Amino acid sequence: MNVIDVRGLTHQFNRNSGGGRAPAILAIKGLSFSVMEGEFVAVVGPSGCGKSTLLRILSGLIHPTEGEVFIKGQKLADSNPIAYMPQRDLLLPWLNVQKNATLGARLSGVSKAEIQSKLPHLFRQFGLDGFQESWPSQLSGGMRQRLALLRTFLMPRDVILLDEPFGSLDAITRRDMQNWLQGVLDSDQRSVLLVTHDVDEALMLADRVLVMTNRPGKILKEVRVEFPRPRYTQTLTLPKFTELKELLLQSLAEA
Amino acid sequence: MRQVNNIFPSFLVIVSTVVFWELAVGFWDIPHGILPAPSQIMGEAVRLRSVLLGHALTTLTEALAGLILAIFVGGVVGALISSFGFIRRAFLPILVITQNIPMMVLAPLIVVWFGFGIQPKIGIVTLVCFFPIAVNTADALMRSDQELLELLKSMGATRWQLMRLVRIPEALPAFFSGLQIAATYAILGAVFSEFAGGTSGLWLFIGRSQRAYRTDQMFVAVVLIALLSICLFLLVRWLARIAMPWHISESQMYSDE
Repeated sequence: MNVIDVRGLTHQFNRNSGGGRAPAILAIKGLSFSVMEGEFVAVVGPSGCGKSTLLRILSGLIHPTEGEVFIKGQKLADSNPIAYMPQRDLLLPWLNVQKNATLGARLSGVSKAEIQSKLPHLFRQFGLDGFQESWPSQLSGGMRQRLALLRTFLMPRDVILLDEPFGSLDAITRRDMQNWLQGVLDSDQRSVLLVTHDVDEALMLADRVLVMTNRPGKILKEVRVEFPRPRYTQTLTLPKFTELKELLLQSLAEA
Repeated sequence: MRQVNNIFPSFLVIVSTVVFWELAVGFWDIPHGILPAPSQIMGEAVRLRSVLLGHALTTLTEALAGLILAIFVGGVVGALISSFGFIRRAFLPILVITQNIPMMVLAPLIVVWFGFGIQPKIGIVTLVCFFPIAVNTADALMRSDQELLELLKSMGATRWQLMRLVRIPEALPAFFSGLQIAATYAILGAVFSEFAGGTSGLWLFIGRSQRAYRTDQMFVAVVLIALLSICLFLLVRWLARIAMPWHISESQMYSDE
């Protein structure tokens, strides 16, 4: 069963600059794809391909000019079934780590008792145990990112949407986080849609990789990634990996 | 230790200035009516302590009451200016103009309208102090992090939750820097307000001392005004630390894993 169904999504921005009529920008045009139950799908594309427009539509912040989005067969409307993690960690500096972690769940109406019962285990799994009372500013970059992920995973939503979650981290930390995220997803079977620039990251994490074209964005190519899980650093050196990477990079160059 | 190191240089300057002053007055035999020695000022302060305490309390009360009122007025005006474009366009220019009217002109008028009691003086302090608070708060409320607001909206936050969780805490540092400016104005505003008349207060004390050619007493009042200002400033700093505990910890970092 499809968890996300995006059908013929088109979005146009009407710019108003200084009263004059600037030409409208067509950010995405006729974008269609789907994500199955428990599937991890990565979207890669050149910058300015309308990825962020897609994310803003999926997280319910803007309404598309044309087309429809179905989440578990329900039309995406005011109720928001997607847990969105933006590029910047966007932690609230004035809330301690625990309150930041539970913010999304609390705002989504999950009871305190229910959150409390899950927390101790999750804090250990996310490597934040012992830091519950700290301020976000006291955490390292990797820990901040894990906290933002924890906040996203705690939300009672069917789909998790990750926008370049490790983009701000150094290469080594990023690799560690990718390995660790696979472990988390092993125990949490929700569908994930990941947007990234990093082809290695997409191949490392995803079941399927979609390549978006330059503006107006649509899906140019779809690549199935069938390496066994969990994938380790060795996966990066498999001939098949190199082959897929080459294919993706080539499509990106055409996009 | 770091705090001691921070205070030490200015402490050194102040002490050496006072010592030089003391020696200079004796060495060149400067008349007391022109420049009294620090020791003489100290002696006078001790001798007049109960009288001074009364005057200082009056001024401090005016300043504190005015400042507290200014916090409320400034906060509300700041919130209104930031929330409603119409109010901003209609009142912001007028507010700026009123800030340029010298208090010396307003004070006698306010006395004509409200008399010699403490209320008009509190009103003057409020007038002087609310502006930096209002402008800083409005500015900060208008520059909320849009991405943060969007994220919380996607989590299902209501308008009020956005205000409580993002806009207000995000505006607190600016509010407190406005309050710090206001606090330094408060004592000055209170002293000025006494210019309009009354029966107690440090300006009154200065006036009397001047008429009696007691320069040493005038210096006592000046030092006292400075001390009160510093105390109020430190009080605001302390309040800011209490209200924004996350701000202090910004420099400490834990290492990864």
